[in-house]
Amino acid sequence: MAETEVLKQLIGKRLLDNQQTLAEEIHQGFQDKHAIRYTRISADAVIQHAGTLIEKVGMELIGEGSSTRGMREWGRAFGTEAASLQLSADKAMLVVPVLRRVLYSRIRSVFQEEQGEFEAYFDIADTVNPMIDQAIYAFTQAYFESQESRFQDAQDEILELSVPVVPVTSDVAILPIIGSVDSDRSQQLMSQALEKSRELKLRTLILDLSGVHTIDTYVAQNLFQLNDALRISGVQVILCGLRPELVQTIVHLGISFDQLTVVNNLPQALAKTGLTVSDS
Amino acid sequence: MRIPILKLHDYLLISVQVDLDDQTALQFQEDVLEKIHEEGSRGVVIDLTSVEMIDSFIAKVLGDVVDMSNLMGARVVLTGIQPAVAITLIDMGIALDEVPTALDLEQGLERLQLELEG
Repeated sequence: MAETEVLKQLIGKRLLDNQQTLAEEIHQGFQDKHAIRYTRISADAVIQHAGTLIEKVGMELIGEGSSTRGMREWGRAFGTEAASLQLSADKAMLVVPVLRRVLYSRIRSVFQEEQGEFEAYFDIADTVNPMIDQAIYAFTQAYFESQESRFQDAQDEILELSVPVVPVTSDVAILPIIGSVDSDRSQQLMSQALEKSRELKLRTLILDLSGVHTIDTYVAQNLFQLNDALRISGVQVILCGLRPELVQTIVHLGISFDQLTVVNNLPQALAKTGLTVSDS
Repeated sequence: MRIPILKLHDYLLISVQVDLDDQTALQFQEDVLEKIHEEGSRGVVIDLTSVEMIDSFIAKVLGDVVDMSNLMGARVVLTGIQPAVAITLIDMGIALDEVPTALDLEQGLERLQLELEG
């Protein structure tokens, strides 16, 4: 009966010697069992990743591995790549059950050849299973971190793009506000509006709120601040396009817009600056 | 039942013919705002000649209608306020010092014109 250590060495060596074959077997199993078709990543890349995984498990078994750290590195590398290629995470992870099957089939053959003991099997499993778990954990972590940061970038981009100050004449511009305005966005609006008003040397800035359906006290506060800040810079602010539901919210919140110039719609706002819009 | 709102050029004319109950009042509030939004009206005359009495809730709703309309850039003139209604409004502290009032529709429209030019 062979001892655990001997068995480990043998299995490890078996894995390392047959790394390429096993990797291809995994790739094949991945395709057959789950009918995965590679549209975003090449078959070679998948085989290479599988191969690295086999190598790490093998090295660990013969006692030369870097254990969990190695698996985590693999997981992170694969996870980040998968996220950037926009691979579906759940499909990518299906490689793991296939890997497990292939690994354990080799472990089983070595046990049969060497007549390994039951206890030894558990020892081997206790080495191999945690490694696989670490790999999965690291993959998931890296994948989702990657997704998060891309999402955050997209959000920042949206904020940037969402303050379109449209010049109508050399000293009048319109700022249409569209969509929900939360505290972050209203801060952005404020600073961008001030910045652009200065840039364009405006006399009047018309804030069109037709696209805004709700408002809270913080955002209203920001509007007042914007008004004051612009007034000090010599820019007149006219609000227009307040929707019925917005107006009801404002009154119910008890906010007074007395200090602001408010008109019904854009043509009226323009009329206040001396411009007329004629329907001809 | 909804209170009919009539459009006259830039203005809206409303004659309240019945004693308002809570639901009618709230519906009225919504309808006025919608109409101002749709038509871009700059003035609203609300004639209350046929309204003999209002309670505190209706008084609040009326006050709110005025505020809300102002927020939408429309001036409001209340006309034909009956004595009992006037007393309730004062009691409720509805700031009618800022709300122009007039005796009847004709004077109401004149007042509106003044308001809008001023």
